[in-house]
Amino acid sequence: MAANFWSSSQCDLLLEARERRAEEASRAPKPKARPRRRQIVLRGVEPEPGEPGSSGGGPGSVVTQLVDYAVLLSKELKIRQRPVLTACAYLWRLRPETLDPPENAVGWSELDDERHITAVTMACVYLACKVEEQPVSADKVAGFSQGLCSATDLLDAELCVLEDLSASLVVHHPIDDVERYASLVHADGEASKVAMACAEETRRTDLLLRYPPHVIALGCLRVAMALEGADTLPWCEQNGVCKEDVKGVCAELVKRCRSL
Amino acid sequence: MEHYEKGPTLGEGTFGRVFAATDKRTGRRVAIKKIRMGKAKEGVNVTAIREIKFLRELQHENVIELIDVFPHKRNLYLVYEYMTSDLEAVIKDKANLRLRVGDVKAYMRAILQGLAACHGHWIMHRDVKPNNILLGPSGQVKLADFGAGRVFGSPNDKKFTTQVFARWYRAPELLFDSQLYSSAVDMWAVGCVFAELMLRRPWLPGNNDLEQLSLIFEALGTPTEEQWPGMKSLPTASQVVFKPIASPTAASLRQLFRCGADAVDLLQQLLCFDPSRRMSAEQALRHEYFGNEPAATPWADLPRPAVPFGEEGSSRPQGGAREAAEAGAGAGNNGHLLQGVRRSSFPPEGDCARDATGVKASASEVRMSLPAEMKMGENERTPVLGGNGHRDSLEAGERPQLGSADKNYLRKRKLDMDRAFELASND
Repeated sequence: MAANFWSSSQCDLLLEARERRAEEASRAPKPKARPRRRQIVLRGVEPEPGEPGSSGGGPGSVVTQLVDYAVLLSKELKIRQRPVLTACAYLWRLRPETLDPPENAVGWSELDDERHITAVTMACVYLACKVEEQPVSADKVAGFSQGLCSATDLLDAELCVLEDLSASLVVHHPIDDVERYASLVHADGEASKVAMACAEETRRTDLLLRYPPHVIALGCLRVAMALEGADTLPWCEQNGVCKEDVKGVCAELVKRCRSL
Repeated sequence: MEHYEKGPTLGEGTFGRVFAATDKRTGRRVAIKKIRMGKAKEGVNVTAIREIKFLRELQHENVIELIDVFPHKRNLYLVYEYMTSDLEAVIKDKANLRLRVGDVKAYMRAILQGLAACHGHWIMHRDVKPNNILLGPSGQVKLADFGAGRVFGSPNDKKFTTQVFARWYRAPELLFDSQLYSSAVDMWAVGCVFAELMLRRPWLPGNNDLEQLSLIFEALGTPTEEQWPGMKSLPTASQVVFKPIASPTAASLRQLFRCGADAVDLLQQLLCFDPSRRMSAEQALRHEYFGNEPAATPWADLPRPAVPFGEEGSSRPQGGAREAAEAGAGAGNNGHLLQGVRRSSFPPEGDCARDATGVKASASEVRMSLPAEMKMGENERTPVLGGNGHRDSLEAGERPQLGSADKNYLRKRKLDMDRAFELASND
């Protein structure tokens, strides 16, 4: 959406998250989050290999899996890039409790677990398509789960997701900013393509929760330009963008992106 | 839901009921729209999604505030700030309310500020009409109902639908089926609302799209190639040939609206045929009209209609008596027939509403055949015509709703005809 990021709800969320992190850092380290009871394997998606030395992987790796699932689903239904990116942003924004199955539910089996998380993922895609004005039918989306979720499950999950996102539905994506800044940092055809690919890959990371989209875009451009032997960092600094932020984005990109 | 104490119903929207409530945590009065999901096959209505996503981003004093969104028992509830009335009620309450120049100016400025905020966020409202401009308890003026809103201005914009706005407020490029339009369509509607505020009746109440166009051209002149370059290239512009009518002079418009030269200039720039030359909300706010005396009335002093939301609904059993009393008070003046009519989205209230809509229909019929300069006197005459009962055109004369396509009307007529055929063949 081509509106102003600085007055958006996304900016508020970012500032809130930043405050929360600062608060947490100042307090005594919290006991680590309870690990998931078991690794969830969604149909058709490779589970993320856990960090060496840890078993399973943190809550982040679950979301990465879900993002992959959402991307698969979107490919199948020929959903455009923008709704997919929005859906991934929703997945990252969801509270971990929403993804977690209800605690000690009676008769809750592994299949229910999978159904729950699949429905939530599909609901994110379904909702994002509506928000980006390219709606798809609920039956089609539910059909992708091959009978695991019905359309009713999907619609119930949609309400859940809507509440969990506290109805902030508009997402600003780094991809727009990459286009905008490419010419300014003299990224020509090839480099801007690499930067675009990077920006698309950021859906598998939680960068969007930590940095404003334009900083992520500048990080992508820096990585792309570095492949050509140019450094855009001085340019960023000159234009009042925090150098450390851009560096942080680059580090994360190099670590996480498969295409690099 | 447990945080809110439910109050009386305020009205019935297109996809749910709106009721008053009190927030138990803060004691704040709110209005809650319940969106029923019961049989919906496609989950939350796209209209509701649009409303949620735009109102979450737009925080402006002239745009209604969306306080909360929550699901409850498989229904979705949207919590808004509490508003008491709308501009349509003000316009129609001719008997009790006098709108001074400063009042109109204040309303216009609030509307334009709200729209400027929307357009600044690249959002088109696409359903600007008096009914969607709400008035708060202390006189604030706020834009509401973003269900038809749309983001525009992105280079990969695809075609937009033309079935937006209630017909009377639809810009000519929409009537010619242009699918690539911008915020200028909102500005046309603002021009129509401006005219309506000054006239105290809808200025261009067409019964169908074609009539709407001819009304516009009669009132403002048929646009020449110079006035609107590119008009001929619009999809349906070449299908109809309109009689060339000269543009009205500023003096004749001043006479019609009984207003100053600055107001006429603003109106003409808002109702400019060429969308690219039509005034934007920002430009309109800088127009000399807002700088000139008399100054805009402060919010708190703006006139408020006597009947707030919801009361007409709850008192409907006695509504007939109240209206009868009002009619009695205005005895001898048929113009008062209009005063009982309120929001069109509510069920019409008895015969009084029906008469009034009949009036409107016949009024526009008459207007079709009258030269422009005769229109002025006609306002006084039409109620008499309405009294004769032109009920055939009742349906068509009702205040049109968003995207009120002519096709629906035609389909209905076709069904009626089918029934007539059936009856005839049975005989």
